[in-house]
Amino acid sequence: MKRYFGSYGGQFVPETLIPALDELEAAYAAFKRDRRFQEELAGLLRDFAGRPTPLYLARNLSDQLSCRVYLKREDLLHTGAHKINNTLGQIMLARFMGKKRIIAETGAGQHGVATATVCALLNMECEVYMGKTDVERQAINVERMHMLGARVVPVEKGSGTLKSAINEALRDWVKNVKTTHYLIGSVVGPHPFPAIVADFQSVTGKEARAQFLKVENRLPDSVIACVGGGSNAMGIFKGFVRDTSVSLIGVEAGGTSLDLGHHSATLNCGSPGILHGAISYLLQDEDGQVADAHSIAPGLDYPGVGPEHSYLKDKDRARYAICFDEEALAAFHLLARQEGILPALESSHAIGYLISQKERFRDKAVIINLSGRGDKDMEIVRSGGTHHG
Amino acid sequence: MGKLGIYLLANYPSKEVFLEAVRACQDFGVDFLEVGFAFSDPVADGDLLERASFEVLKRHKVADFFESLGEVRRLFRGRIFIMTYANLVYRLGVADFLTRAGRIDGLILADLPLREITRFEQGLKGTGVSLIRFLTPESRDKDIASALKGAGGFIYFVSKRGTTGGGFELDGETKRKIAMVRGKGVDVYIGFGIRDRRHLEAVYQLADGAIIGTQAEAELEQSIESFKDYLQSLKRPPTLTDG
Repeated sequence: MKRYFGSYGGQFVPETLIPALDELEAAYAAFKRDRRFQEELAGLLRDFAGRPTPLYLARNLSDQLSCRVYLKREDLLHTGAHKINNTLGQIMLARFMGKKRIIAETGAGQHGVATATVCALLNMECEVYMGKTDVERQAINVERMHMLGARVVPVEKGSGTLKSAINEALRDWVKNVKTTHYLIGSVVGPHPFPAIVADFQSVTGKEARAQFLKVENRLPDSVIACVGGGSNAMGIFKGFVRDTSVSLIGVEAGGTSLDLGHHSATLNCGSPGILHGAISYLLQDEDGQVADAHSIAPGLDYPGVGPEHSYLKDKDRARYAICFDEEALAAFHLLARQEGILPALESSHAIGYLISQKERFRDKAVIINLSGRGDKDMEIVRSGGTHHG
Repeated sequence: MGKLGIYLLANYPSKEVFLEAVRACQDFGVDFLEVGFAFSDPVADGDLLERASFEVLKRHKVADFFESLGEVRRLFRGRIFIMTYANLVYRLGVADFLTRAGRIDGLILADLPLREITRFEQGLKGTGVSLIRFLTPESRDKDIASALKGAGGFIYFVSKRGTTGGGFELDGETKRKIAMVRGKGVDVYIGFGIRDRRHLEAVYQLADGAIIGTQAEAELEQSIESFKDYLQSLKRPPTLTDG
């Protein structure tokens, strides 16, 4: 496995973690070749998580936008989001490595819930770091994690969001590296995490490509997904990255404005920097201090982004657009009314982008990765977006 | 007697008290200083230094740290290292960072492991500034060999798995690793969790020097007097009541 995607990626972590990252990389290579483990994972993805997920032609939305919109229904997976693809993969990998204890970070709580779920399934000890602001605004997910037997550790320091939670998880890992697997939730962090998570999420893209070919007998014009850390986008992009006729569009959170501190549009507004183990685009000030991010969608509220996205951007293989808080909220309501689907606010950004650019997509066929369902966001939506810190 | 290095976070708890602490280190005969440049996401630091970093960043920009560094050089005659995180150097570029820093002996980047040093070391060539390499209780023989190859300044041996501060202990395996590094042409200094004279004695049995950070800052948070008393206590032989 290569440590870098072009000039992005790497392993910028304290020296103590390097042997563990090497162990993880070697174990992953062996795990991929181990037929028994691979079959067990495929079985769990099918019977426990609910794969394959449907590729659904959203007819009402399509009529309204004068294009054909297919939704990849990752929101129908167990625990309500694409996160379970990765947590099932990594928990099997952790068992393969003989690790007994799992730690994870979570922003919106979706990755925390998906981690707590697979830990319950495989009877592993589970601790989830979560920023204090997120603990407050995602109370239901905190309850879910408790019920699943996980310990939720609120992180009061720093911004109290995903960034602080990752800092704290990294500190835990440095201390407990012998016994513990850090089950990271997105395509971020030091190598080999971005590659491993992308691999586990690529099931979405492979399925979507085959499903689309079957119904349309051609490839889509565009594939659209929201990008925070970027795991659901990378998962669906992986299915189409070699199909150069398919445009890949990542949608970042424009928040309330494009002033630093008011958005999470890292690839659009950031510059290369080093955070959480990798060189990638980063929201930072002129000194290199990492800026606070903002989004109405807690899962997008992150000042960094996976290094492979930075690579795809610089290579012009993917394009990264922006959807503001208000546009995402409007898209949430539109999908609810038109299609009977309550999308996660994160996924609403992908839909919001399509709506705002409908002229560009007239008569085209697009796939949107509907990465999660919106039940977790009821409070934020009900308060018109004011309840998100 | 081994060497003693003190870590002080630049401009903490205030610029004045920080500089007084530097002066005290000079008076006491501290061998080298690590001047910390606060970073927004200090993942290698424990609670105290993280909290202190956030405090400093509320009031100061990196330009202020460079300015203070100039004063540190006037006050302190021993070696001076900057300790921070990779992004602050990456953002400015190594050359610009060094120009703004002026004369220093080395750079210590807490999130820069051996295998990522190349791009930073290239920028340091011919400057006389060393990029300090870390070894840890987790290091394998091949890591030790690669750290020693071309090492300058000193080898920073992290005493434990974990962040700065907390307890101090060295297991047998770690002691064996430290012994492997010793006497290979570059000094080995041990850091993380060292608090008192007793710890220093233990470190000097094994290595060429010790680095104290968190405990020094904890004393300085009390007052400059308590910091001075603390430095004094590091000289005194241990008594039965210590620890």
